[in-house]
Amino acid sequence: MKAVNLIFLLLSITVSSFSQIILKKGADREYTSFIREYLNVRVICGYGMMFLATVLTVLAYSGMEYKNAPVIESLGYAIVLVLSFFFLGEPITRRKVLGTVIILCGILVFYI
Amino acid sequence: MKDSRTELQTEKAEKLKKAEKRITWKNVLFLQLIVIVFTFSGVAAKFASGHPFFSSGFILFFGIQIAILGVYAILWQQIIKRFDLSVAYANRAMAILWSMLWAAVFFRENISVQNVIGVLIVLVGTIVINTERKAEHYETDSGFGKSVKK
Repeated sequence: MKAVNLIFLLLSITVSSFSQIILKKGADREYTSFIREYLNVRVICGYGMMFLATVLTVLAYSGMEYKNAPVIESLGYAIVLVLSFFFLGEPITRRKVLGTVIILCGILVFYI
Repeated sequence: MKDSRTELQTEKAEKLKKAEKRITWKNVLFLQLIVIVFTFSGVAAKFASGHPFFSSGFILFFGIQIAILGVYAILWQQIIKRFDLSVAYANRAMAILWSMLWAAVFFRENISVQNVIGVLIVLVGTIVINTERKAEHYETDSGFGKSVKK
């Protein structure tokens, strides 16, 4: 994997982690109709960011094996855990930390 | 348009209501199905990357990728209402299992014993997160990004 692929991938992870926060904020609101659950600023922004992340991912994939992608993307689990504490008030429990560490270990074992 | 204060209160009430619920296996199953849909977008992305940028093949597979992500997006918005984001997102780690299968099926990439062990460990981690009891969660208002201060 070339350095440029890694940079695209890291950028993509950061953007998509933030998009999750915005999407969750959008999902927790009440709307008058099903279509409004999607046609609102938060959800549109969130998926716009995800689209951007997707473009970055495609650029990154061109230099690596497909099965390696989830490894680097897994950094996102830790990032989302931290961001959801700060922006959504979701507690970081022992179980969440333990589970995330186990997941990251598994992914590492898969990769090495 | 509701005024923002009422909206914040309903938001908080919703959260408290949700906090009383435990994570049900039905929701986890629904979540895992969405993860499978999501992994197919990765397959399309890899197919796209095999074609020169903006060639017809690239555009086709990139289009398919976007279509899959569209379906995934609609489903994802529905499921994250029922979970903490940190829990729902961690479940996406199971994508490693599906990606491994698709890597073998579509791209004939090799799967090692170590790959399988890694996937099993990820499975354990996902189960640990999913067996979280939610009841005690929202009693303390942790996190300072919250705008519920009056």
